[in-house]
Amino acid sequence: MGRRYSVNGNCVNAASATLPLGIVTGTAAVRTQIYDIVLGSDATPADNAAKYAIQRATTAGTWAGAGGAAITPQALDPADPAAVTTANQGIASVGPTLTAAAFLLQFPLNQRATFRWVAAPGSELRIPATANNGLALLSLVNGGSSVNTAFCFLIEE
Amino acid sequence: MDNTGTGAIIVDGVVVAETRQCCHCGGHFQYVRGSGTKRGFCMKCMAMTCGCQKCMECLPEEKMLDLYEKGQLLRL
Repeated sequence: MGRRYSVNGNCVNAASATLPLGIVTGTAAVRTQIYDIVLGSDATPADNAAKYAIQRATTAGTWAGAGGAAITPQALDPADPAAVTTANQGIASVGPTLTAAAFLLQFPLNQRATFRWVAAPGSELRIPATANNGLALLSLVNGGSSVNTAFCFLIEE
Repeated sequence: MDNTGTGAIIVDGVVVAETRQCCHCGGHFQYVRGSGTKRGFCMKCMAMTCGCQKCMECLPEEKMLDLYEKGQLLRL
């Protein structure tokens, strides 16, 4: 089993098909895989519908927008070294280059619910071992305004 | 649900749906028997495909990633 890391983020949910809420970016050294995604809202409960997607990206983008920040993946096993995979959250000021129609997972979600997706072993979402390639979390539809979204990716490299 | 999925969707702690992985693009989709959504089945991989046009031709995900990493494939 590879080394496993947790990536946690929390940012304003702004609907966009080009500016993601978060991204996990691999390197040429490893083939990073996402095997668990948890997504929910920590805002006051309300009935707001949203639709999210995980899409392939070939550049990392620029994360200097509102709430933009780098996320350091945390090793689940303290004996593991620091991750070579990087991650960012917030609203990208310059979105990554998204691969058209390359959606690896799409899901609708009500703000009141907490969503979790878990891959069976061997069925993870894979990022190629190519520099700056990654998987972006997009909010394609957002029924509410400025609703916070908390997300967690569990990655293996 | 028939417990043969390759992914599980859990809402508020309850498994509400299963996802299947396309053997060509690696994407996951919700599999609902009898939904009418057209999917594919690759007789070489002996596995389901998502049904999109670019997954009609057999190029297993592992091979696709290898070619992309070598620069022999322009996009995933």
